[in-house]
Amino acid sequence: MTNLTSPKLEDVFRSVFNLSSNADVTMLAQEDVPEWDSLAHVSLILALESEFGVQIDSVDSLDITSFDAAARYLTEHGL
Amino acid sequence: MSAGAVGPLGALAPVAPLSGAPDTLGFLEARRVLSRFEGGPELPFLFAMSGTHEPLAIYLDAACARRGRKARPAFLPFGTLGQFLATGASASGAEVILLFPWDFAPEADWRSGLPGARVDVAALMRQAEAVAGELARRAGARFLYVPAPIPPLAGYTFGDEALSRGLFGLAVRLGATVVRSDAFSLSSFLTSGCPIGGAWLGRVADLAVSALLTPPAAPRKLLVTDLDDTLWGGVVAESGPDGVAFGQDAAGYRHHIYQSLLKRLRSEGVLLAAVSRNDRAVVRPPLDGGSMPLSADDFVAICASYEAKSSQIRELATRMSIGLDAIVFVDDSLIEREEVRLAIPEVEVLAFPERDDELPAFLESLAGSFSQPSLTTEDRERTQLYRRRFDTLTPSSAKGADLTRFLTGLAMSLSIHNRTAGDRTRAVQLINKTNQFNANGRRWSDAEVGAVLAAGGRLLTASLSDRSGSHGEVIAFLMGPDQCVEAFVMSCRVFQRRAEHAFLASLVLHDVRPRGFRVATTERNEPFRQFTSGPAFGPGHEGVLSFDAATWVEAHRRHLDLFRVSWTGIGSTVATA
Repeated sequence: MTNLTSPKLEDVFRSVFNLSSNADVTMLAQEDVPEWDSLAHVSLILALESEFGVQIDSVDSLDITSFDAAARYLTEHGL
Repeated sequence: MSAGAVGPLGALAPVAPLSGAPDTLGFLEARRVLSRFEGGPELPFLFAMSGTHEPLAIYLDAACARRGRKARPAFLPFGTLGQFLATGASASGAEVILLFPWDFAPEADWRSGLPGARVDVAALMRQAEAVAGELARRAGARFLYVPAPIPPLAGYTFGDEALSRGLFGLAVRLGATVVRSDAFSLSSFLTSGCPIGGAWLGRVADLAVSALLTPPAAPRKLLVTDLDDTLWGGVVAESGPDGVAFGQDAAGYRHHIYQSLLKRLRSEGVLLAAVSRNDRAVVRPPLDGGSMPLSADDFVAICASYEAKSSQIRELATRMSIGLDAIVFVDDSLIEREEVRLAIPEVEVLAFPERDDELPAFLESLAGSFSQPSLTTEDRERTQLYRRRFDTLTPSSAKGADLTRFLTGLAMSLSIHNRTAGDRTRAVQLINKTNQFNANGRRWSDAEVGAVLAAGGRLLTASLSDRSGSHGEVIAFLMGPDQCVEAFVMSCRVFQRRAEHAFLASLVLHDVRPRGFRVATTERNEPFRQFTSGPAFGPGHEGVLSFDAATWVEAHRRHLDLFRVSWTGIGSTVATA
């Protein structure tokens, strides 16, 4: 993931989960966040698609269960 | 057209990268816009679509906020457009309806799986047309259409292709803004119920709000067509009624097909008018001949004159009491199109194609300009109703648009050739086949021209070229030893460019100074009469108009600025800016 992509990804996570602008989200994982339910997951996937101009397949979206997984996905797709 | 929207045949263009585009409404940008928005006039509207609308909500809010408006959207309670239409609820305010193929044909909905048996495409299209009829009745509704792929329903490829295209056509007839097909995400549709992929949410919302805030285009009512090289091939004043092409052959096919579309449009209530730089008596024979798809009776008016086409179109609009934005104008001439475009920006101006390959897109555009979902008896009889108003239409002499800036941009070059000695074949040919811009209509044999030159006369011609290419040798000028111009002709293909004015000014500046022009009125040379109507031409004596060279140069020196003028055949090549 590039130096430009990382701050944007952090902003997406903060925005989707309504966290403060200085919250550290890099360690965020679905199992630790009660608000990360199925609806929030859809919002996160669509926000990632919107912000990074990608189309995430439904199977891949199931694997994006943490900030780290999202970062890995974007890196694998050249972002 | 907004970014992300496409024309009817452009639906399969690749996705443009989203990141980095300054006007892209991405997720974070939408949030930023909303956080900074301080409020504005409310924009209440219904956003209707099949599927989950929630992901679009913040983008709709942000798209409104960007325009200084506070969004007040309402959504369908169950997200099923079909159920909503079935309730028969009429439009109670602004509506924007996002359509997918399955809104017309529910069997095409991916979430339903495939039907147990192959579908009857024709039956499905009839059902889809009924849905389109329901949608068309929603006064003021704006439509967006995503031509998403459909599941294989027909059991054979062509059937599914026909269905897709048929549904697309219904959407276009509704006047829908067509969104690129890749806005649809099957993955998103199957997992979240929202058929729009995340990468497209901002753009679709932007198109929706843009459609809401754009006044509906006035329905087009009147098609004004040029005649020469548009309704038929060739120039009737030069070739005669038997020399123009409109049949089902190589020369005429393009015009035949164009006429057949106009015939259909006329039967659907579109009004047809013709505007031509011609004499009325010249253009009637082909229209009255009975062998073309169209006849004079199909036109509410036939305006044949040498006045500006824009002024004829304004006159038509006034007499018909229709808005200028209800008019479509078709012409093959770049100059005529630009004159109308500059003088009446409200008129939609279309170029008649120069090549067969351009015909399909042109016809599609033309048919689309007059698309209407249903026809009434009044529509079909409209031409007769209007014809009665135009029995006495006389040409308007109102001034046309100033084309100076446009003509300058054409980068025209005028090459003047001295043909007094050497090959004069083209010059003699031009004199003998030109009717409209022709001083007196006299036909000359090569020997007669040779005799004038042998006695001390001069023969000059000019070639014209511009950024689109060469128009060839288009002017011929024969002056006798007594400085009387015996022949002066110019091809009608280059009317309106002021080449004849610049040519004569350049001649004078190079000491070719006629003392008079031998003129005679013919049935077709009204353009030349207009040319000699200025102060440089004096009273005639024995068929010769006097000519004041200094006055001409004073009046027309500015036309020389439109050309790069060069001279050849006077010892050496002389170029003047």
